Amino acid sequence: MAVSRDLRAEAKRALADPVLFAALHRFSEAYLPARDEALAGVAFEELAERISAIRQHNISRVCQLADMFEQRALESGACVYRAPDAASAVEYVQKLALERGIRAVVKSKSMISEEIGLNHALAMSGIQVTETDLGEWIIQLAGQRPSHMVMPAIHMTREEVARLFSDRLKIPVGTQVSELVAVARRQLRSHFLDAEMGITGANAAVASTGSVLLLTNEGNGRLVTTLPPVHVVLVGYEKIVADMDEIVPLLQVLPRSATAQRITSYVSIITGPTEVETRNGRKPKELHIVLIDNGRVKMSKHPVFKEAMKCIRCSACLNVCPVYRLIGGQVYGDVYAGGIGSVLTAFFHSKEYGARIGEFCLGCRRCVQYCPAKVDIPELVLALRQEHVAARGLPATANFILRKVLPDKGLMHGLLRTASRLQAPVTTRRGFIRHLPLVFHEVSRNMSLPALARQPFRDRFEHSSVGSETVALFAGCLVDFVYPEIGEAVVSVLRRLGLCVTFPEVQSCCGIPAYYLGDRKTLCMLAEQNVRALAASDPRWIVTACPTCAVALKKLYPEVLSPDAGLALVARTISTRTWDFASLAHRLIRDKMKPVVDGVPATYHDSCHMKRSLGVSGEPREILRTLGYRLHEMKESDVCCGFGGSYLLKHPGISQRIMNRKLDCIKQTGVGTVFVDCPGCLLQIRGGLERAGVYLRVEHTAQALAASVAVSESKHKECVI
Amino acid sequence: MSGDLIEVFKESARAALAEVNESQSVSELTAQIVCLLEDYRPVSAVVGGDGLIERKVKEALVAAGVEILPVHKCSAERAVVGICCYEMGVAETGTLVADASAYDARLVSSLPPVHVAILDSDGVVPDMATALSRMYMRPQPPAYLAMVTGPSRTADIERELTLGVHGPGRLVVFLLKHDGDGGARDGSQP
Ligand code: SF4
Repeated sequence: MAVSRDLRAEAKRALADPVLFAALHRFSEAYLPARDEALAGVAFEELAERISAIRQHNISRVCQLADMFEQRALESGACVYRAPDAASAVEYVQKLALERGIRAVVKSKSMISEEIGLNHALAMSGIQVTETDLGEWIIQLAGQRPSHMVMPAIHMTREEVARLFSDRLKIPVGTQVSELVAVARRQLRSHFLDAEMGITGANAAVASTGSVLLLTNEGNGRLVTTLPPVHVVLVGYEKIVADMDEIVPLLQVLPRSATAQRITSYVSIITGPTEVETRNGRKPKELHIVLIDNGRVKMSKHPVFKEAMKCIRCSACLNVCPVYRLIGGQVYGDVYAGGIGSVLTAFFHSKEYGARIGEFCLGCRRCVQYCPAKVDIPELVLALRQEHVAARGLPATANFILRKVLPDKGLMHGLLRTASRLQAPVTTRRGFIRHLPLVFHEVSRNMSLPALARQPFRDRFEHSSVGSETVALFAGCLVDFVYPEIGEAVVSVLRRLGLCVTFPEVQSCCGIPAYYLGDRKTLCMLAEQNVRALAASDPRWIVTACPTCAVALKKLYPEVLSPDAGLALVARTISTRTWDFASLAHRLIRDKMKPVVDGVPATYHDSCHMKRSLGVSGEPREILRTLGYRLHEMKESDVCCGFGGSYLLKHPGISQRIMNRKLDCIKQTGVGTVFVDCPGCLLQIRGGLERAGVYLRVEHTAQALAASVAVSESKHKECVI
Repeated sequence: MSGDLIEVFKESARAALAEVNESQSVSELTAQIVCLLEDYRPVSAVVGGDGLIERKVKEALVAAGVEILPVHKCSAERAVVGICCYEMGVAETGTLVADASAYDARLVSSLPPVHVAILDSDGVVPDMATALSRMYMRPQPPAYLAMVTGPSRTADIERELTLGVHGPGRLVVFLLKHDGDGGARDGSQP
């Protein structure tokens, strides 16, 4: 079924949907300020640490907690069924409904019921299932799939909902939202009152008491759990907490992260059956709790993916995801959306399908900052991709490029040049070509990509042994082949400081492009090559003007080389000595800088790796301000520019839309200069502006500093640095 | 209970779009409820629970010509207003907390479009943790714990906040206070 979806085509359609675009963007813009307000006075980081620790502990004893929960729930009078998989869970509910002669079921929103395909199965048995959450009901009437975890019908306008209501319900309906809501209230009343079974999910299951926790806003959850004589709760193993104390942090964080509320309108905790009204008077209701595994126990035992069991399904990660807000959950996900959805899908449904959904993840890491359970979603998506590549292999061209070309810089440059000549690229006056070399990809038709430097940095670098301490420069591909001038700027600043700058020749691509394509093997190979090259001269510092390379050197190499103790030791030394340019410059020359421009207005774009992987955002700004730039912060300065390395090639349409948004944010500031610290962002933003015919200066912080060196020299002023 | 905590509760509950009133005595409370229902005449009500306060409320409403319906689902569905008492209020969030194991308690608070909640100001606690631990330390913990914060709401259509989609669209809280001379809850002492 869903596995055969053509995700690319669906993404294309979603990108062309203006209503979806406007709705998701409006929501994502409103979300963060509202969330911050709801979190006022709450120590989010501490709370998130606590949630993460609680869940980690619970994952490690999930079966034990399930046993305890089952026993307590049984003692409270509930029936408990432990379903190993989706089919058995469905069968249990179906059988129960048929045995009781149930014809009508009301449901409150439950993702796990969608995961197991319950509605469809019940409908096949002739049972009428009515979703009662307003958004879910709309989607059900429309025969669609939800586009958002918390707001399933966010992609529909009020006019569309009105049309749907009058079509399906055969009544005239106005387009006021209040009117539409009133129609829903009236229509659903009889369903609540007449239903013979209520089905809900649960936000938590408490092992020590056998209770289930339900959070709702509309009040449908209370009616579904109160009116019908049979209540079925579907709950996944990951929802089990040890005791009531563990509910408290969940209550603090879930509504705030999900809908930016301090608490939902209704919180219900149900422990055992209560009384219900039937045609024959009051009697105890039947409470059935279906505890569903469906891949969860396996996940909890997996060394890497157990991390995803921490997820509390708040959707914060989706609300801040730049891809999700373009294509929505109908495309980016199946039942569970976004990056986390791809990982959950892989375990609950199919590995291959999950990995395909995960292809939409940019790896910008914005979600990680907001996840209240501290799930490293992009790492999990990447791990999934790696597993997939390890099992299926890479496409042949990619394989050749990654394994043969990347390690050999000479070959790479030669190939790039030949290919670009063969393609006869149109180089505009600003040095952009319309075609990326064929050897790298075919899809780049509509993009302005930079012309290759006539001479790579490695050939332009002038060796010199003058200087006190040694700084080894790690160039990375973009600086080496496309922007050697950034490398030269770095060299000039550092030499000006009296340092001896070296360029270890054997260095190659940092390996992250391969890593992001799921090719860990190539990363390992390049890590070894680079670590050896850099260690050879025993430099005091290693500097790179590319934050992505810095992440590879500082974080990835020690990890991927850990199987070889000797190499790992060297990698760790390299790691501690590696600096991104802005941080090193800030450390070495902070006190020596003087203004060289007079309040020139500029703005700064935070690169994903710089801000979120390296945690650097203040230093470059301080440097720029000290140099005399007046910084105007753009909106969403730390949202990805859409480059994402190979993402640009994989999903050009999405990448471009993300970039357009970035360009809008830049243009809104009204400044003439944009500074960045990542050559990838520079490529993307410059290219985008060029295509849009907007001529703004886009430069690397190193270039600003280098220019200040030049200015101070020409003016014979006091030394700037 | 400290006055500050009550102020925090009122503020939080109002932020969640509940209306909050104070009553200095049970007789003032009943008068206030009667007055509130004037706007809805002809009006029918369902009252959950059978404590002293609920009985006083019922008496006052009957005297004022309000139709009190027996509590079952069809009448609760017909009633304009549902009235019941809560045991605790959480200052941090403006949440009302009650052991709603009794079916009636849930019917009156979830079916009618207007919900009147009565809370003894002694029941205001600082946070959720306190409320939960008090509830579950009891020898007979609730089979159905209800926590209610503001009216029923949705933002499912174009993110426009709309009240009263399935539950009450109006939540009116009456905080029954003590004026310090011990005589505030006239009639409420056994
Ligand atoms: S991964 Fe984190 S942010 Fe995303 S839904 Fe799960 S808990 Fe929320």
